[in-house]
Amino acid sequence: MKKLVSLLLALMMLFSVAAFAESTTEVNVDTNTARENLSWEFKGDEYKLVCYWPAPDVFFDNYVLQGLEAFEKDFGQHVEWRVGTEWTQDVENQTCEGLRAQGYDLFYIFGADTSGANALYKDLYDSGAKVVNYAGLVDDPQESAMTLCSNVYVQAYNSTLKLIEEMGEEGTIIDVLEQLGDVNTQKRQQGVEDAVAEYPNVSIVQTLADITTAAQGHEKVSDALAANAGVKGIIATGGTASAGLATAMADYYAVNPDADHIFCATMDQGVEVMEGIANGYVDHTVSQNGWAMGYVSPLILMYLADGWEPINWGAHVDTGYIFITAENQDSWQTDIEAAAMQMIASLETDVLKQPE
Amino acid sequence: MLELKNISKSFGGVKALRNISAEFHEGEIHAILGENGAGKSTLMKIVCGIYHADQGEVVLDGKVMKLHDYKDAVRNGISIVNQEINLIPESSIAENIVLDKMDQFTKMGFVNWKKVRETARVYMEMVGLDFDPMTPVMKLSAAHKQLIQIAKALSANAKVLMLDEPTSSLTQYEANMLFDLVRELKKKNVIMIFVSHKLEEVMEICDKVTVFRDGQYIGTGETKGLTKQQIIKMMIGRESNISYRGRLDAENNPVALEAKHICSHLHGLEDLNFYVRKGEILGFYGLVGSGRSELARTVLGIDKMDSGEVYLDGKRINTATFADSLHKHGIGYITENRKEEGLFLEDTIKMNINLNTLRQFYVSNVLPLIKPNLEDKNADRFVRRLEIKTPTANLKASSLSGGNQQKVAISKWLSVGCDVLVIDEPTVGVDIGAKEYIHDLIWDLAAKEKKAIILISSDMNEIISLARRMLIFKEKKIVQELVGEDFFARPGAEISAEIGKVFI
Amino acid sequence: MSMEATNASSKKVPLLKRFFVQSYSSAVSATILLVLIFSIFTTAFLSNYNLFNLSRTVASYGFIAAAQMMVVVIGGMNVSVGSVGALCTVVCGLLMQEAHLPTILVVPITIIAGLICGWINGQLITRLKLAPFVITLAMSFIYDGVATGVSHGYPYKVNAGFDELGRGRFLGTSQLFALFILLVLVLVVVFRFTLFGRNVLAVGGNEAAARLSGIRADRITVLCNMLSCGMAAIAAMLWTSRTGSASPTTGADWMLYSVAVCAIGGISLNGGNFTAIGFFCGALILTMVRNGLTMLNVDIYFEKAFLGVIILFAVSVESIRSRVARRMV
Repeated sequence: MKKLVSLLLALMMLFSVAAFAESTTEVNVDTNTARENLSWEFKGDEYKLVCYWPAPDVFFDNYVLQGLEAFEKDFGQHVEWRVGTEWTQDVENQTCEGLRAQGYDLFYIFGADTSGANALYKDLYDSGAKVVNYAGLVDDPQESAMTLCSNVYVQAYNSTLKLIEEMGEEGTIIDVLEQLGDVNTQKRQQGVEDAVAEYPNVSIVQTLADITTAAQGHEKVSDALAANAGVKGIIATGGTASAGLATAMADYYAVNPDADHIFCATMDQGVEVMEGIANGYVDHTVSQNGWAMGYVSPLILMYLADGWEPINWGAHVDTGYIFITAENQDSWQTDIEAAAMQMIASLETDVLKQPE
Repeated sequence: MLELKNISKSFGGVKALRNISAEFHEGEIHAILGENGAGKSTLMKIVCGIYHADQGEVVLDGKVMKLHDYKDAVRNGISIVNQEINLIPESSIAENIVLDKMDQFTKMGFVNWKKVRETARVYMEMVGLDFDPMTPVMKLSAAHKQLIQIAKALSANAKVLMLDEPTSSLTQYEANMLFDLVRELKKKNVIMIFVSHKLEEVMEICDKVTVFRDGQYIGTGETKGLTKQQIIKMMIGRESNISYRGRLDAENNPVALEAKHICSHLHGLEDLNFYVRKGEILGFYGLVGSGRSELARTVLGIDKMDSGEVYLDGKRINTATFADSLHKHGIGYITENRKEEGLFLEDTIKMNINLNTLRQFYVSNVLPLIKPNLEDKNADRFVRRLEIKTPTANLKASSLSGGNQQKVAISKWLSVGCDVLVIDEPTVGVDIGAKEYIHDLIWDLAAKEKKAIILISSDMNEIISLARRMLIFKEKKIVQELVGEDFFARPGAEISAEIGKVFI
Repeated sequence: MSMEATNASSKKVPLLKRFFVQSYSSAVSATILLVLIFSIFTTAFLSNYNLFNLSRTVASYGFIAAAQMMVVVIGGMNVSVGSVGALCTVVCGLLMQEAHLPTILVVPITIIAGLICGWINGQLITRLKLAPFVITLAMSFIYDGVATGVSHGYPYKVNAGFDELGRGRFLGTSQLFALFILLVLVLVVVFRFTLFGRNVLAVGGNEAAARLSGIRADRITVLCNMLSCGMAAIAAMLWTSRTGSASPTTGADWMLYSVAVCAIGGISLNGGNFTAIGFFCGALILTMVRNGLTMLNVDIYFEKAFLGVIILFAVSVESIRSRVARRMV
């Protein structure tokens, strides 16, 4: 009896925890105008759409999913979205092949392994399905009709330039990377280093890496700040590392109230980062347009289903990025909106061609 | 001829062997005797390469042995058959026999099983084993495993065969089987070294006896020319006699513990009953696996009881777990498996002695913290009282010899103050001096402190010497109860004959 | 141990040898060696800010390691320390951000959540009689999944003032470090002077023998698992208070580091022993190495390899020491 009661208590706890869980920040983009501008009348009533992401992640949950839901609302279509249990190509293949067997034929997929995923795209195409790849790498050839991507190199490069400008074009920088095994990390590192190389009075004093959790990022940044007294700037180019960097900066100023300002650039708009911008210890962050990926990908798939063809097979479409600073911290959604609208408007002319 | 020349060995500061010299000849069964801690095991381990002597050398047929490890010893024709059986239980008899020379049966990575079986069968015949060579070893009895160890030694062309307490887990019949084999091997000119606590055995089959005491060589003699009393005197330096201890007069005492209709699926026990009175020593006699230990463990809540009733002082008690039996009802149990479940070998002697009585060392009832100096005192008291041979109670229990380990296991229970104590095989692997001492302790617990004691043993002399009522177990049943002070007052030979009838 | 010398022989042994035979001596020596190396080769290692940081990180890893240690001493293992940490971080964050509970309520509820996880682990281990490794591995997926499912990977904001604990100073060091010292002292008292602690060590030394000494081994196992996960809950809150944000990614790397601290500290993974000094130094070594590698600005691509080499070095020194010491006794 006693045990039963305790077990019930434990379950209650889990459920009450789950009950609290519903809360996200909304991105409100007025998409109806964009939709009305489209000239094409969609032929089908129901499109069998699937969205796949290899593992739970803020980027997906927050931005891609909101774009996806906005698309569902605007076009009255259902998108079956699946999140992998494990970030492996194997799990992705199994899930997508299973969905294909159930009759779904329009896929937009984040490749768990960008080159390994090509075999999956090919198989899906051979079975008569259409595939759009999203959040992929720029210039990484994919066996899909199209890749909606963010150019991580350009983002890192421009974010660094902005940071250097904030620093007054002189001083030392700590470069905070994430997992070294990730190809994105290498491109980001390259972007940072290329930007720094253009300024003779700026140098990278230390590079941190191998950060998989925010706590690790916090610890490593704190250690590095202790190791490099007098550092003038610090930049993180991954979302998780940015969260750790933001909390470490908060901690740094709290513990050292007399410390000089260290210019700080981050990636993505995590809670910690946005709080950092509000409190002035993060100077700017880069917002990738995940929303557009979630919204535009299924739209492209619908065109493909209706017989449209990509102008260039396998083209990479940059969904763009914006900087969020103290000035636009409350209004940055509008910028995202504008970018997405522009993209939608250009679909029929720049990206796709009508069937002959 | 195997010669030992001036061998010395110490562990830490303790000298285990001092300048030992001895000779062992072909075709001779040579016993090494000594109390626990006398240095027998250490010497055996040096001969077979497990330990390395600090000084001195081992010479076999004029060749000085420089052994790195046991494998090296086997290669040089020296094998040991252990108390603890060193076989791989899941593997077959054949595999176990040829294990260390498997490469002789392997071609390009493939094992020639036919050849393995044939070879194994040859050696199995030598030791008189008639099994399918592919039978897994775990299905065999202790005696048969012992024989397989010997077969394994023979297959390595052993010139020297050491038998370390080979009969400790065997029945009389099985032991006789082993002795026949040993006599057979004697004819084949093998040097045999026999270590045992059982004097009767030694007198029966050994040609020569060498005695050690406290790591020193005491003497060697022809078995024929010696009496038991003389050998015991050499071993412990004093005369010893296992004799009738008198009456306990417990017939009219109230019943302390009573068990009714005990059933256990686990052990196959059905409807077993017994009781024990205050101040009485009740013997549970039977072979290993006959149900005696199983019954006790079931009643005490160590193993699962499916149905049955347990009464203490006439009141029904719940013994669902052993912790209940001990803490709520004051029933103690000294296990027969000293090494596996009796002692914490990797912990200190002090920890072992004190574990059950830590509450007694609290600073006060209000502040339930243990006072370390009280612990030290208690441990030192028992080390002195039970004459445990160790420089300090802070050494690991594993550093002690078997008999001294048993003393530690017993002292753990002496200070608890249980009213009912179940003592399972208290003197297995214990030398004569310590054995006598332990018997005295048990007798005093019943006679002076009026504890109710259940003594489980397969040693008839032990039961006759202590118990005044006994239950005989056979195949999970209680087949007979022997009662009466007079019965136990009779000479040992007579009572043995009578009990022997029970087993026919 | 006691003030009174229990025997004459221990007095004669030279001090250095007496130190050497202790299982913590290699950890202590390694600590001293590392402090020397890092203070000679880097300028910032002994700076005020770094020492303050170190003291806080040591405390965090100390609690994480204590979570593992509580089950290692009974010969078990808790693969789910990190997942419980993640779940408790989420519980803590939810209670603060969504339920708006005051810190004084959040702390005990979070600890209770940890204890419940441990109770579940313990019950499964004792009832199903499976290896703790297997059970806690399975449970770690569940806790992790619940934490991710509930939070969707989002961090939570914490109550105002909660980060004061992680950032505050106490007697010249950090409050977190003071808390860790307190923990070590409590552990010393528990394992040396209480019946519970002794029974735990007994179960770890030989479970069968412990049962036959009237110790309720199952109950001890459940309690140790509860303490383990309770400790993980505390560690989760320490991290939360230090970073000022309740991130559900917390704990992903705890399992390996917690076992490493135990191994470096000379706490046998087979159970049955505990040394407070070793444990303390184990946490210190791991933290210093991680901190020191950043201080030395080593090649980031090889950083992990360096960390592995130093951990391997620390544990092999302990293994060699114990073998030599055994011969000396």
